[in-house]
Amino acid sequence: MRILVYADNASWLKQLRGLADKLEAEACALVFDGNLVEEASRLFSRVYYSSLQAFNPLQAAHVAAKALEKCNPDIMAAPCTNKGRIVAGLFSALSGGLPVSDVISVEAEGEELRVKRLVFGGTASASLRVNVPAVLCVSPGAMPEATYRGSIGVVEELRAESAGGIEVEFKAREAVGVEPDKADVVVVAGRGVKRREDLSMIRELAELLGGAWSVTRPLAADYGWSDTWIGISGLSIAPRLYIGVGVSGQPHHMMGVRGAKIIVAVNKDPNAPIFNEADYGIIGDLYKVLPVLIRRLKERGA
Amino acid sequence: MDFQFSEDEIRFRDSVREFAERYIAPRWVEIDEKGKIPLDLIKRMGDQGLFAIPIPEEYGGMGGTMLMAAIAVEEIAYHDPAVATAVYVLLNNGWPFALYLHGSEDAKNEVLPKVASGDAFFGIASTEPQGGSDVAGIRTVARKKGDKWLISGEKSFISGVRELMELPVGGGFFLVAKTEKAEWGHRNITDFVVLPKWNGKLKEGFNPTIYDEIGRHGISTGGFTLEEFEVDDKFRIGEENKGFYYVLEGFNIARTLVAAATIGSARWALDKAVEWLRERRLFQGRPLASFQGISFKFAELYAELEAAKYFVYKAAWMIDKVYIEKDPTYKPKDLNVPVSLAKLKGPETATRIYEEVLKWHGALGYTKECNLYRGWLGTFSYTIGAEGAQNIMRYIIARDVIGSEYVRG
Amino acid sequence: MRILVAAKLSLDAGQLKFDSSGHPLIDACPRRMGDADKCAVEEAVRAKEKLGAETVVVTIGGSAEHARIIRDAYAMGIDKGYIVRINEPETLSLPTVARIIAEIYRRTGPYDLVFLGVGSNDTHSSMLAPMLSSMLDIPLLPSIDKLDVKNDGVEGIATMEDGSYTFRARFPAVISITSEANEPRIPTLRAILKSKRIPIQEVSPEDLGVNVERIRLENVERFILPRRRILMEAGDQSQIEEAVGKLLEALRSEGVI
Repeated sequence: MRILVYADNASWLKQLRGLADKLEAEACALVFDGNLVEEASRLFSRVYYSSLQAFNPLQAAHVAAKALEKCNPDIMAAPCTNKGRIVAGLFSALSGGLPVSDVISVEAEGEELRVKRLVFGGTASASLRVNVPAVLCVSPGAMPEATYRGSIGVVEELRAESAGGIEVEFKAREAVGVEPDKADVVVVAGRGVKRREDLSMIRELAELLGGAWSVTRPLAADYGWSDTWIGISGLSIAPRLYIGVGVSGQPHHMMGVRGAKIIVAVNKDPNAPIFNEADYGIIGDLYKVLPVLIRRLKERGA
Repeated sequence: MDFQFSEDEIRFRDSVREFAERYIAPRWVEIDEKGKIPLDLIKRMGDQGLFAIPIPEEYGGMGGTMLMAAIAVEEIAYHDPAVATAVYVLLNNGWPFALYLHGSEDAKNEVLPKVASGDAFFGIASTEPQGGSDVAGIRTVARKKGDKWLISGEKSFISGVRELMELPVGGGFFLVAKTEKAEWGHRNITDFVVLPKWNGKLKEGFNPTIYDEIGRHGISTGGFTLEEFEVDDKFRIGEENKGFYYVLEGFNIARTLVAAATIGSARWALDKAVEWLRERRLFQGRPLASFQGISFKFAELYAELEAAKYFVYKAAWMIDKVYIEKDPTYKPKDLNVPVSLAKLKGPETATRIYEEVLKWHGALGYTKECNLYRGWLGTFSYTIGAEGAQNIMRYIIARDVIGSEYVRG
Repeated sequence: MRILVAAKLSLDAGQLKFDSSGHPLIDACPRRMGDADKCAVEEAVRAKEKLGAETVVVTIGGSAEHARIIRDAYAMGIDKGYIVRINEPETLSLPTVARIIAEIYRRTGPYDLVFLGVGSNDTHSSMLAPMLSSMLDIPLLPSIDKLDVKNDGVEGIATMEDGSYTFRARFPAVISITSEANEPRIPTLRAILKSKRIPIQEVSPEDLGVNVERIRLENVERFILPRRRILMEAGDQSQIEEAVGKLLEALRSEGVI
């Protein structure tokens, strides 16, 4: 079996390499970011690379078509991220491969894949059988990250045609301290945090733990307390430690958090859904618990 | 017999629910604390089409039914359990409808579209300092002078006095007055559209005061005196001396909608109770719901609320049969008992529910932060009166079921 | 200008409950038009108000709830609607759905724009828009949070993991719209009552010449990653101190702090 993967960061390159290894498939990679080429070549024997002017869907489609032609894969894989889903959709339309989203496990039996995926906002899983060609959009943290191979793969540049059909302007996200999707520890504020000023406690806790802080969608989209948020329509994170403060654990948010190694929740509602998905939960008022947590961390540090 | 709402009614209810969740629920506590429904919310409700629901589109109304108005009032009360917003909405549905039934074309065309848009308020002015239930005993007098009437007297415990002064166009009342002389009786009453502020201008001869009530702060209650307040004859509602009967029709409509508000508020209290009875744990982790003294009481209250709900829907349904479908099988007097049942049971059930639910919350229930007390005071106000005292409801039911010759003695 | 909006009747996943053996109670879960789809409908109606566009909605499925989606779209201001009558629409493969919408686009067009919600409330693949764009060979503006429709083209801003993208294209184009793009209007009673009088056109996949492919999901069950689920009560001050102490100890032994 041959697999073509698309990835937009190093961690995904490793996760999709892990998928390829699991399926014992020959693998090629497609990247649009020049900075990923070296990383990709340490993981894949063939790397296709195209420097898009910015993520232009029309150009991405042209390049994806070329990569499919050259690699001729049975399986295509992409991350379940904004760009990944777009590329997966393009792969499916171009190859006729059946697409499956939010994949958490795959097994191959000849030409048939037995896939398990998340459905219903990530609250349920379901299994299905698909024949190749198939397109898998992979859930964060579902595949084990592979390690580097000994050799360096071959890199081929694919020229992107100038896509006059769409103009694209890109503005990089302003890095405000540590980025939540790159940090080992992330503290997230939810609706239990009543005032914007109270975010200072969240920030303090994050700093003491050497990590990043963020918010759930309502605090960003409705209250405007942050430009980014953690959740299915925002950032997905997979830190070693996630602490949800006043976060109830709605599916939309938890979908972006499941990759975390340890999940801790502080919430005064004993029935908050997050307690079902936490390793450690403190059922209490965050306004009373956080000061104690912060104090104890400072004491230890001193 | 179909106990389901129609698809239109379900879709409308869902739209009011979404509106109330978005625009009313986040502000209801503030409305009760500050004692005011923000003018921007009133305008938004007008834009959403929550006023003049049962009035035909030709007068600027929504072309709906009284059952839909009851549904809207109930949903709004669920999201503002202190009921002020629901009362504001019900007044601007019920009394414009009464005007639609009997007013002149000129008056209807002048007043109804502006109430529908939320730019003007229209309520009821019947009660006077010497009595509310005894409508026949009012003393405000209207004297004819050419093609105008001059009205003098005093009205008290009137909702909306402050609101009409603050709204851009203004507003006024379906006002009940004695024709020429203040003698006790049913056949010497004429109703008028009295607009103390209209098209932005305050008229002469209107002197308001606002009271300080213990609850339901979001809508004002006040009084006013009228000194030879001039009203054009086109604003006389219906025929001279038939006003007693017209206002009773209006009361039947308003009572139904008031009951709808109280059951909406009570439903909120019961929903909060369910959450609390599940979560609150005592005596080594037992939920409150596991104590039969509490769960059985809950069951009783639930039963009473369900019953009160159906009284409301039936009364509203019958109002539609009489006035909107004009089904000859149903006459206005057939409304007396169903409406009185709704108005008797709605507010009382709501108040009883609040009392129990508050106690289940323990000392927390006695704090302002808990907010339950706001619903308690709001629904309690409707056991006192407003559109109809509880004993009048009992009287009506006894009289119509046993027979007036026996009940009158 | 003509705009086609595709809306899906999806499960309100936030309300989905499970029985004691972990099976989802699907039949008891309410279904409605998803949040992103509502935003797509709202964008179309805004384009109609701003530029006089004619707006058309399509949904796939034959139940009364599907008809209600069309009527709710009418009540928001959409002019015309198509229902593609098919049973068990939730089992249709994504390529089948894309082919159906592509055929509607071709047969009831011409259209300048196709609007879709970026993902549904239940399966949220976000792959439909790129598939459609590729099948119809027209540009895609993906994941748009802020849309500006002009007489001669569209501009949209998307927020992705690495930053924000501003896309511009001429017509025709496919736009996928997020649930952050706008606040959909709540239909008034007048609009609801009027919406009953607007006819809904019915089509079948056979009429469209589309081959129907189905995917059946098996073993649908509650998904909860095995987590330790160690809960600590922190009601009074001494409980809080104890809980925090235990937590820090546990996190240290896990090696995460």
